[in-house]
Amino acid sequence: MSLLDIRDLAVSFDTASGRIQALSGVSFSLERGEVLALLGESGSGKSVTASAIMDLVPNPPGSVDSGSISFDGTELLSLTTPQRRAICGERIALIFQDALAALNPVYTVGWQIGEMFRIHHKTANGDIEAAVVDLLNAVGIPDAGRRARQYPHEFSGGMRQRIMIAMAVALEPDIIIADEPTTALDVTIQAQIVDLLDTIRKRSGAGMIFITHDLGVVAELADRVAVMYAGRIVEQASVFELFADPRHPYSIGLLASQPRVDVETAELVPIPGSAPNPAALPSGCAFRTRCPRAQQVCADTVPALEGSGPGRLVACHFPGPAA
Amino acid sequence: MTDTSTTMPRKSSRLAWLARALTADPMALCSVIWLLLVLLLIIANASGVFAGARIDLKARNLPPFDLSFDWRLWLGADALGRPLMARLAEAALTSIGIALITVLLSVILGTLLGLIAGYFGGLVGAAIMRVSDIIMGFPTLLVALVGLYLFGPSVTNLVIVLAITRMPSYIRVARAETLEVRERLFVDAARVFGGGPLWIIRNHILPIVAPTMLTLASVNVAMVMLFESGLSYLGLGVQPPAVSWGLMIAQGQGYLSSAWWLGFFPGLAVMLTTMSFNLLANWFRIVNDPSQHWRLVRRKRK
Repeated sequence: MSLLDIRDLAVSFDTASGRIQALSGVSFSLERGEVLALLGESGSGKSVTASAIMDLVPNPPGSVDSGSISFDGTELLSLTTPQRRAICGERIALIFQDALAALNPVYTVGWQIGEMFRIHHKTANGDIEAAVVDLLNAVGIPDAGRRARQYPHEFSGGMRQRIMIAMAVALEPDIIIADEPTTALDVTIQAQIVDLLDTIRKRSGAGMIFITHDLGVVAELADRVAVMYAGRIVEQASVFELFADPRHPYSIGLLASQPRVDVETAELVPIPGSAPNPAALPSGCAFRTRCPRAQQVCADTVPALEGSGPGRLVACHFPGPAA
Repeated sequence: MTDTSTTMPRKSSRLAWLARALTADPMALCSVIWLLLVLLLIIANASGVFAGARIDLKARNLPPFDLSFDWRLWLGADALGRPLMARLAEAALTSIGIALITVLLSVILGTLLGLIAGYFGGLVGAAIMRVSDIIMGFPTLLVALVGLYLFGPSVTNLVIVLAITRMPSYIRVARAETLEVRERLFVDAARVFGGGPLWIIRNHILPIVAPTMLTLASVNVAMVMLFESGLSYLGLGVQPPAVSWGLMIAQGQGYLSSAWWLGFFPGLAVMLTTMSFNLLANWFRIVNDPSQHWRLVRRKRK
């Protein structure tokens, strides 16, 4: 049994221009110790997936319409709010993209990391301070004892992200969800943070869902990749298979539009057109308006996510290697 | 980093740190000195320093700063020959007492209701807001007049009526701030880390809302003092022989051309006290805002 098993998850939002289907039929699973990357462009539903797992979908206007999220054998969607809260933080942790906004400006970072222990009553009050300093040391913040008594605005962006990571791993969760943790950082810091996440995750053996649009980070960190487009997973494969041999036209386009050191391509090929308006998705396959392989059948039926080779799932009527 | 570090001190040095922050703000320091002076006057009055010089008909409407008389008469005397200093001291307790209790009552209840209305919303929130709208719809003075007329003028009723009429502004501001803070990412973060509604309101929303409420409260101390004097003037507030600064101003009005000090000194007291509360509230807000600490602890520039 998988650690986390998501089946046919559908999330929608009410907006002024009608009901938007943010996620439809999203299914994936995560094993203990595995890193799954959710890859996709803005608005493809990566973050909404994380919100749905963490019970953060604002209701109203949003709602989780159907599907199941099963964590370690427990169906999360049928739990009461307090039960779900007990699982969040303690067993599933989320790392936010914008660490400055996710930290309360009026508390010292030491207090905020300690908050994890206080909420879940896992550590005696007297031991919290020592535990916080240990955590800060573990995420590579020098002079941890003094830094614990400083406020979020006194830290640099990279340091703040380290603090977020310290908070997330404080209670040694089974799953760490990282929602674009490196997007707001500059490239040198990005590499450090990715390394840190990898080290910390390996130490605790937790599973990780890494949400990103950065193919470089995916290649470095992930075991498996799920490519998302317009609220659906269009391709799922191991990281090696996806990079070597993408089968969905969108994955092919995504890889072709980014520079790579391992492939000698003279120029980058952008995907034509732009992401569809989520309030008015094309009928059938949402990618068909930008797809070079589109036929009549693509407009009529939504392609199902089906096996296409070992460990690989593709949602396309005409899957195949790049031409 | 080390130079500008405003690391929060441990509890033992917290008091010393507050004292240092206070001396860095001369206006706040003056406010504290004035309020201590008023406190001293109240204590002196309570311990009977002025008891010996209650009524002295020879000193009727004695002008101030006549140093040939007893020191208690240095601020002059009223129409019955009572030393103004003693009257001011007695009135200080009533005025500040009423203002502080009223403001505390309305700020605590108002913030609580505002937080509930803002965080939970729904039916309870709507009910709270509509009731406060109704209270706000009537002119404060009218509500106070009717209330005091119905229940009879007494200090307790005065406090209750003033607290209720001031409360809607706190509810509104607290609710508006809560609505904004509720959507901030750190509240989501606290939720993700497993915090319940009470935990989030107490630890994440209240500390952000509190400084605003404090500033509003300090402004309202002045307003309540003025309302109290207005109601006392109309005969529905503090009843003689009890006295408040507002009542003293009202009583001194008749002597404005012949004995200006009767109205001037209580007026000055109201002004200085309300100003002190405002300045202190501002200082307190800065002290409690980590990113503004440096304003109070920075070293002198040459």
